Amino acid sequence: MTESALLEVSNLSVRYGAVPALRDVSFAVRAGEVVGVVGPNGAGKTTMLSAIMRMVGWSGGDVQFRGESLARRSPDQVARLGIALVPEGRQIFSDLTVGENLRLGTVARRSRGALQRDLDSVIELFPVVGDFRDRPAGLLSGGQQQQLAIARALLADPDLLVLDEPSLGLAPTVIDAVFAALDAIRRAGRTIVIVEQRAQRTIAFADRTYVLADGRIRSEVGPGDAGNGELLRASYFGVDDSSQTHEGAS
Amino acid sequence: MSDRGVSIRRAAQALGGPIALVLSAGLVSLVFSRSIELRFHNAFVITAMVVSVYVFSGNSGVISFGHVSFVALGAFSAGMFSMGVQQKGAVFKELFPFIKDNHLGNVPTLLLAAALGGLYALIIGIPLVRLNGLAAGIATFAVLGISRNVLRNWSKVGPGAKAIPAVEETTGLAQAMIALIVCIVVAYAYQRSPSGRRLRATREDVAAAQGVGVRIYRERLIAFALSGAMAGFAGAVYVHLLGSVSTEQVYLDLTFLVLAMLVVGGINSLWGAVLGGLSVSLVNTVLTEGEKGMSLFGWKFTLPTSTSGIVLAALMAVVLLLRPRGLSNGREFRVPGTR
Amino acid sequence: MNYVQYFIDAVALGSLYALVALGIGLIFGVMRLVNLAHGELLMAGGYTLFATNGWSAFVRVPLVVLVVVALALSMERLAFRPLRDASPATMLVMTFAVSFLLRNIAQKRWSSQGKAMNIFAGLSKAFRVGDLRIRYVTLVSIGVGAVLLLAVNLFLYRTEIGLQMRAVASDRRIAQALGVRINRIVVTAFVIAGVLAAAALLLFVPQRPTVTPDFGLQIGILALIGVVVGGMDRLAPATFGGFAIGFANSMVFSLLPRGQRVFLDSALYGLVIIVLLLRPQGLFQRERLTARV
Repeated sequence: MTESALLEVSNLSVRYGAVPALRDVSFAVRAGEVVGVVGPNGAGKTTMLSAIMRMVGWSGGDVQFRGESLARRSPDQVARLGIALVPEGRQIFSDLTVGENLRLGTVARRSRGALQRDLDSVIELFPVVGDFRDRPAGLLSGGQQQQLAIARALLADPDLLVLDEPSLGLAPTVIDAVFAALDAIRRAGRTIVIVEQRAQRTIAFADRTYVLADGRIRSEVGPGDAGNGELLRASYFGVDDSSQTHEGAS
Repeated sequence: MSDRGVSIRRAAQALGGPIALVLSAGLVSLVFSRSIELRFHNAFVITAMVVSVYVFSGNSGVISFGHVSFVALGAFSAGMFSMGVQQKGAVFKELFPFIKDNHLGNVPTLLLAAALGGLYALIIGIPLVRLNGLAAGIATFAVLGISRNVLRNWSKVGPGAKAIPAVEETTGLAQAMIALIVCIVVAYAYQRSPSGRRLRATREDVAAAQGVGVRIYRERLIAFALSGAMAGFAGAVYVHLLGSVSTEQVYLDLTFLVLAMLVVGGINSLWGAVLGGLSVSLVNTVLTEGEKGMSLFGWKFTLPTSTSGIVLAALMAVVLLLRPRGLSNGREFRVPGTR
Repeated sequence: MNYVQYFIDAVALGSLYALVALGIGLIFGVMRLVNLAHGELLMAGGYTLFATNGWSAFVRVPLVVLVVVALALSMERLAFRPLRDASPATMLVMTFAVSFLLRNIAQKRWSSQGKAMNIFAGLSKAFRVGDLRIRYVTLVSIGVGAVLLLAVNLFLYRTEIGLQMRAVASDRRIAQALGVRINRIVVTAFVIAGVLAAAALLLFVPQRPTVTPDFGLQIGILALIGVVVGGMDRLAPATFGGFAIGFANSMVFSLLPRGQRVFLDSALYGLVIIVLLLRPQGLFQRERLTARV
């Protein structure tokens, strides 16, 4: 086991019926790190996060969190162990109010102690969440819902924050705001795993980033490689990249 | 052996298996006493109903709770037209004249029932085949309710709350077996037809099938109408077996029985439908005879009454939980060991 | 023709059906399960009353609640939980099997003869207010119905578990990913549904004094129709649908002569089909923000 890894994924495999979605994926995340996972559509990024959260079954391998295997856990147990997921497409509860959505974030908290303090800091980070307390969450814009989803996850005071494509469907200025918030979260000391299609942004932001394609990890890159289109294309599309003109992200 | 040879052999087994089972059961029935023989005939007719439900639900993946409506329509129409005209006029005074004054022989009533069943299914199918899953289940359940309500209360066409009496009991071993075999052959011919294959494609993945141009609602409607005709036909054979029929006999309990047989046998294959029908009938027969007191291999026992319903329901629950694809595991009959 | 009389009676019957419908709606919300066996919960309560004939009402009432809730929890644990991820149609078939099983067990144990339930006989008495003849049970039904509906509402909107239940009904997967213990929420829903069914049963007794194996079937199916027509997805429309069905049923029975009543069933079933085809979210529900079923 990698020394003091918070999250250790070892040879994780997932199949949907006969179709392999994740093949033998291994990587580790240390406390305080920000790790990115990028890759084209269908690479298995969401499957990987679902697998870690135990929302989908494994056909092989293991995931260890703080040294404990997650193999026999249910998703709610994983959440209560300290991993908070910000799902793809936000997936907030549209018929419930913003305030109610936030309260649901606290279900997985391990201690109620600093709740008020966390609530205050979350509202400071995302003012919209404080302003629209009583509004049905479904009426918020995409960007606001994304902020709500992150706020909700933070209220669980997780040891590991996991985000699935936080920039999906958002306008560039909104994406900036989201990443700024993530930066503040990182500076507060949280461990973050961020899964994205927008490779450039993520690679520049994270401490290190894995490239996932076709269910496998192809390579590991650092922030310095953000401008290196060649390297990315090779990782995304395999050896033969002669026909590619633009790197995968939209 | 060539591919074509293999596929012909498979077809022969898939069709021949169920038919062979029916024929052997028919032969076995001759060994027993009259009352048990009648149970075999009963089993064949009900299995024909199961096959008719399979033609729609098995191929489309949409569960229908309402097929016994078609059985009821077939049974009632065959029953009403089989009654002697004089008796009919005396007992059911309010009938429409064309029902009151006419009498049909055995085979014409069977054909009439099939036609009516098919027509009814076609009409209600036009809106209903658009529904999926849960909605379809509820809607077809509602159809069952409507059918029963109308048949029970519309005294111009039906006997009301009374049973239709004195229907010619023309269903013996031969008619029951032939009826079932006819249904099996028709079901098999349908599932091998282009329309049937297209419908089966939608069962696994609706979106994908639509993507390649399958017109789902059209294919479903064809299957629904065909299965309605078969169910009506089975209903007519049924009334000729029982000699009478009342609305309660073709309502919830029969619906449950047919559905249970389909689930136990396996909803996705013809073999499942036939196997389920005959095996559950067998269990049912043993249980009901046991309730009366029977001796099996010299061992006398008597089961408490109404056990059969309980056992059947428990059996269905167990199958749903442990082996959802049924006894047949969703596959057609194949001789073990062959390719 | 005393319309006020009919109206009051209809409101009372509507209240009872609203209680049953709310239970059905709660279960559908947390599990996406349409329980064809829901009526059998009332049947079980009815036979409990028959079996405890002569005992003190202070014992019988809690006992009925206990038995009905126990049955509801057994259904959930044994028959429904294992199928939680199966298709809705499979679950529907399973509930059908459970219904058939329970009715047959009752048939075996007590035969199809009606058995007297004998409780709250005093409620059948009536008092006169001018032209109206109001039975005590009518007032109690409306009162108890209102109280229970309010209680469930407070539970859902003012407690943590109630919030979690609404979250599960909205999106079970995400609720689970947030740490909500699904099993606990489902069990709680079944307990509440059981209590509501028991209450409805107890108040049905004065107007339907005997219990048969099919006792629950008629009530259950009618309540189910109400839920489907009102709107399965949300509790308020579902409950109101139940109320409307009970209300309409009572009014039709009071207003129409016998000959014309007989096709009421067909009309109701027909309404179900029309709603499913044209307005699947139900008559009393606004379009959802996200697509469902």
